[in-house]
Amino acid sequence: MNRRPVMLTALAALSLALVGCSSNGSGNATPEPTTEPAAQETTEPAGETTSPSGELVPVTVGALPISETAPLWAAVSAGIFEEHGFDVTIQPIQGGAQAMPALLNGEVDFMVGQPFGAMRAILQGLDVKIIANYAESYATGDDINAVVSAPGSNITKPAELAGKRVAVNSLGAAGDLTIMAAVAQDGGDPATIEFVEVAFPDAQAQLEANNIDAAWVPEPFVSMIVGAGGAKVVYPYQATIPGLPTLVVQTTGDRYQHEPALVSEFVAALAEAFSWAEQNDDLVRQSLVDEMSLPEPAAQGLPLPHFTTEIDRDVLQSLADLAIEHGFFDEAPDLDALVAE
Amino acid sequence: MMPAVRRSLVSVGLAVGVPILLVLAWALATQGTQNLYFPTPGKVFDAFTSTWLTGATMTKHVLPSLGRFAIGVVLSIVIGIVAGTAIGATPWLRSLLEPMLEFFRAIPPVALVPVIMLILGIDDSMKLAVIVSGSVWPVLLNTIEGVRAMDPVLTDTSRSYRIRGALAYRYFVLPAASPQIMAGVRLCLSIGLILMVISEMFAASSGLGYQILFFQRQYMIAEMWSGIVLLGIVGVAVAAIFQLVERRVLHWYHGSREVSRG
Repeated sequence: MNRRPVMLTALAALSLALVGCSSNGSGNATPEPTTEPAAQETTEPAGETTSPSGELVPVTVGALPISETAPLWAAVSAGIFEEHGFDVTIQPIQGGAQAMPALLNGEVDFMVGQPFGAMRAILQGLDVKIIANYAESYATGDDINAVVSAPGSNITKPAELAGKRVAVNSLGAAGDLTIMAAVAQDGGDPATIEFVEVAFPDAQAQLEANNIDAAWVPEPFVSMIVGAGGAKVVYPYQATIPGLPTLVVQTTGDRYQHEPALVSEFVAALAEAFSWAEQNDDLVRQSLVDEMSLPEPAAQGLPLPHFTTEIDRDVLQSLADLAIEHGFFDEAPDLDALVAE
Repeated sequence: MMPAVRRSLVSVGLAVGVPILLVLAWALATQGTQNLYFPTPGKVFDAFTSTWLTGATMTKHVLPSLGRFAIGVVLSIVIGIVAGTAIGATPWLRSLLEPMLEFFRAIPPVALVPVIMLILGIDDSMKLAVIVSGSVWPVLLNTIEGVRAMDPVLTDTSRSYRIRGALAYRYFVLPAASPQIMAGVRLCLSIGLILMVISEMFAASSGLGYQILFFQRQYMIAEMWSGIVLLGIVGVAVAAIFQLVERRVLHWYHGSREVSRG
């Protein structure tokens, strides 16, 4: 019995020491521009990507395994990025916050994540830069995410969500923020909404079990729930900030500053990938079948967002303003520092 | 100096000194760093006082979590001991159920959460079920084993004195199995604490575990670490309470072991 505490503390001390080492050794999560292993790989051809030797620059892109990633998968296998001198690896990530350390230490070069998360990150002093738009919701018509209610529910408009239990995939993000704003806009009291976290794939079952009154879900879940008799209550993005980006491309401020050629070439490649994807919708949808194992008919009918690299600063500004208005942020994020010119 | 006094001085020194050394090592390792992910002890301490030592978080997040943990663990212990003695004392029931119990024990509670949510809803009962579904096993299996492995002389003696039923249960079966049961309870406590956190990862909007995850996603890393520190403190407190209880319940056992060691 006497030896165990000693062993344990020795172990704990060792692990602490290791943590200390790794944070000092590769201190690139700090803004200071020290030598980075990832930087070395990419600096030599960064001057011009069409290097005479024809060598490709290896680039790792962190992206969520969701349907929005389809044009990226398709364009990579079609060789669009190779034409721009990139050898792209798409690294599936769990979420912006989980992947942020990988972005900061250079394991991931670019990350496709939510703009709200990027604002959170820069508010906490992390060195992140939005270099391009990626996917945005629709300002008019059918949007790509919606608050839906269960079959037989009497919730028909946003104001009626007040006092109800509403599911979002993650609290303190753009979902609950825009829902609160939409409810307030419609004359309801957003403070009375009880938000709970339910993963998107679980939302339909929870709605039908009456555990929740409404759920905020993206496609394909909107179509699935409405198809099963549920009702669309509101498109929270469209109702509050039309055309709000769902995903943006992020990198570190350090990379943006020191490798501008690489960054702008990557954005150019992405822009071409998106226009290629528009012409090759069938290949994009095939990648949904290949990469996400979606059944063929579902992949054919799935509504996709609008893909573009063009950043709309005003829309991001509205998002930040809304976050302050509803108490999500204490202070305004510095959009000049966050968003690339 | 008497050896007993010296020994207790050394253990107090270890108990107090080692954490101080660890915090010092932590402070040295993070000295001067701006890295958000490895904050200094001072930052985590500030986050701790501003986050957790306020009435609102206590009543909204910490106390409900600890309440669920306590109820979940008590349920696990009661279910484990009652079912365990029944199964352990009945050979045919034991051979019938044991393979199945091993099967259910191997199911990770996390994988079951969406299913439990459908059956029990998303309120406290779901979170309790998650805690019990994982922490009942060490108590249950240890109780079965403890009851089964009862000293045959003890069994025979109590039988020849015709001590049966509740009396035999209270004075023979339970004490004989209690060293094993208490070992199971110890495991049950630590598993229960982990599952308390896990149960708040689903369909939650409050709780200690939920808050830690929330801070992680909001890049409030010092606050996240402070939540982990709080969990650790809870763990230490629970272990201390356990030791007190164990010493009372098993004082005869520790006594007899010391005698046999000489």
